[in-house]
Amino acid sequence: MRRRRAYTLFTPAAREIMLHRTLALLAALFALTLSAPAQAQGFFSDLYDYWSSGDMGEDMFNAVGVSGDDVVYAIDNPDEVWEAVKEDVSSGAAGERILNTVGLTPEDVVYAIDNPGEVADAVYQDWASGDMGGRLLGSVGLTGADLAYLIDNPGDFGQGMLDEITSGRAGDRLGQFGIGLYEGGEEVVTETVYMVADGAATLYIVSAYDDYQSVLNGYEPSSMLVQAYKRSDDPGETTRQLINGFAELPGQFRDAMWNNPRQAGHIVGSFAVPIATPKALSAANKALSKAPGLRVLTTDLRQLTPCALGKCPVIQDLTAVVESAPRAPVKVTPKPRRTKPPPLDGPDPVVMEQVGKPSGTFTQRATEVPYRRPPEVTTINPSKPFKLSKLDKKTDYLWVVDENGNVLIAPEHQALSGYAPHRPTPGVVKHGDLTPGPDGATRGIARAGGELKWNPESNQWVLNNASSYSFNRHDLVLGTVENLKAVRQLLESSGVEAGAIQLKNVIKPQS
Amino acid sequence: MTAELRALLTARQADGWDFDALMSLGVRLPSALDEAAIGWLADAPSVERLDMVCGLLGGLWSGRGPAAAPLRALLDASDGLPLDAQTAYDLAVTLLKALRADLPEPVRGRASARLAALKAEGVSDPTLQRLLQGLPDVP
Repeated sequence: MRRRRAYTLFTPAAREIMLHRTLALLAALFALTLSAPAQAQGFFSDLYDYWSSGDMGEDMFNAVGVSGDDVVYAIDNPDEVWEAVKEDVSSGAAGERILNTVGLTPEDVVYAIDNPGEVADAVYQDWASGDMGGRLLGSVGLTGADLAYLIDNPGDFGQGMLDEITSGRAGDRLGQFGIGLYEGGEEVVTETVYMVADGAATLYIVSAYDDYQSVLNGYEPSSMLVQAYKRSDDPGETTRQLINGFAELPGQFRDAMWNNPRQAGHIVGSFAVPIATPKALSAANKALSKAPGLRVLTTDLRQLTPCALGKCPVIQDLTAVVESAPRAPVKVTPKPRRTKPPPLDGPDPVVMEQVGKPSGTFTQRATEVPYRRPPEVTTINPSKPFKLSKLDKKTDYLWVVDENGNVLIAPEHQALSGYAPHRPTPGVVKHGDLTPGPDGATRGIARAGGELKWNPESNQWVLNNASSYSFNRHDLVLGTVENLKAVRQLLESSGVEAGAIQLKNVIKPQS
Repeated sequence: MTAELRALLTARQADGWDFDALMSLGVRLPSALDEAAIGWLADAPSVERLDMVCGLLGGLWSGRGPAAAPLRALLDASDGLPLDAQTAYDLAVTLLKALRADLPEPVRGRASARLAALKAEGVSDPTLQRLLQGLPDVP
């Protein structure tokens, strides 16, 4: 559902946020294949538990209104389910569920269009009280950035949603996504059954080491299983294919998200292995129970995924061998999981460099000395998150990015607090005040600077590079829109609803 | 736009002005307006007007820098003015940035000589003096 909304209703900038979040999840899944889950700590360990427990698969299915039991039922009754899906889409029920997921009805949307201010206030109050945090954000995976966009653009949001629903496009895409999801899940289950028939069971061997052959040789039993699965004499090639498959997955998913909802659903469905597999295995076992002697093997991925060369732990009880089909589903005990990755300690160093190199500025005014931090200034970084909703739309702000990648924002005029009364314009704040030099005698070092102003016409905050730190630098480098994009990334990584920020490069090109 | 810029500069001089604001204005305006700004200075040369024009040129010339004619006009208009420490520093920075442009030798040589002279003369403000001495002679 979340992916549907990202595809159909958000601006390109908001879509980018959703895309990054989705890719981050896929990247994390990929990372699971490159690290040893048994040794992994923190987020990845939690994520692995989330995945292996089946909760992730369950959540994915729940996002489109189906459960793991539904999937098993669909496998057993494909024609019936297909007819039901078609009816769901053509009747509009699927589209309405989009709204229901976020607690809205079509009437709510119409009301929001007619009363954007009231709705924005109500949404804001709901959010500010914290009620929405647990209810709305948690239930549909939205973040503050999405919410800020919703608040700032209620008409746009509502109109887009209404258009999508009334035109049938939302329902159609949802249907396509659901079909793909079903196909992906079915494919996984089918493959699983084939694996069971081959005697291989649900087993993946993935190694990030170049000398994967040596790794696999250390796992003779698993190597044999891979060969059994692929009917191949080269288990290393199997590993290579698996790694390549994971590496290409984010790109495939990105394309599918925007161009082929069915394929996107297929990919998501393919990740629903844990939820589908135990239940499918159970069903398969029931069917196979009439074939005495057929072995169903299951194993724990954590026992097999890569280890350091030459330091592989001794595998105990590699496989649970079931001589006859079990009657009950595989029991998995979910562990508490972390729903958010741990925050970064500081700004992303790569993005920080893209903002600009640290530089002083030629602009120095004797009448402005001393340069010093004004009373009202906000430091923003991943450990000090910030929301644009805290800013006053009637106030103009200055911003700089300091040497360490912190974004500093301050109102341009602070005369009321008695700041800098001696200046030609009393109380005016200069960019150099945010990063003063030694003893405040000069403007200090910064990576970039500019202004942040509210534009009532576009309903957006406009971030420009009108600052000596962007066009009058000691290194004579001129700021570009790419630098501004990096600043926006820094803000985004610090929780700022950066998707709602418009960029404006005011600097003339050098040639 | 030439007349509007002259009027704006005159109004700013009367009402109070901010160096950063003039630079930001210059960044946004077409570079070709540099002759209008320098013409306004030449109409009634003064240290204050020169300082204001240096601020504006800091923005106007932030891109590809000046052509020969406006730079020659700036040198002419500023010649002989009793510069204070701030204006001497600002003029030096303006010349330094102007010398990045592809300029014919006569005007380049003249600007370089003026920059060297400003550095040699020294200024009263110790911070600006230090900054001025830190400027390279020729970019």
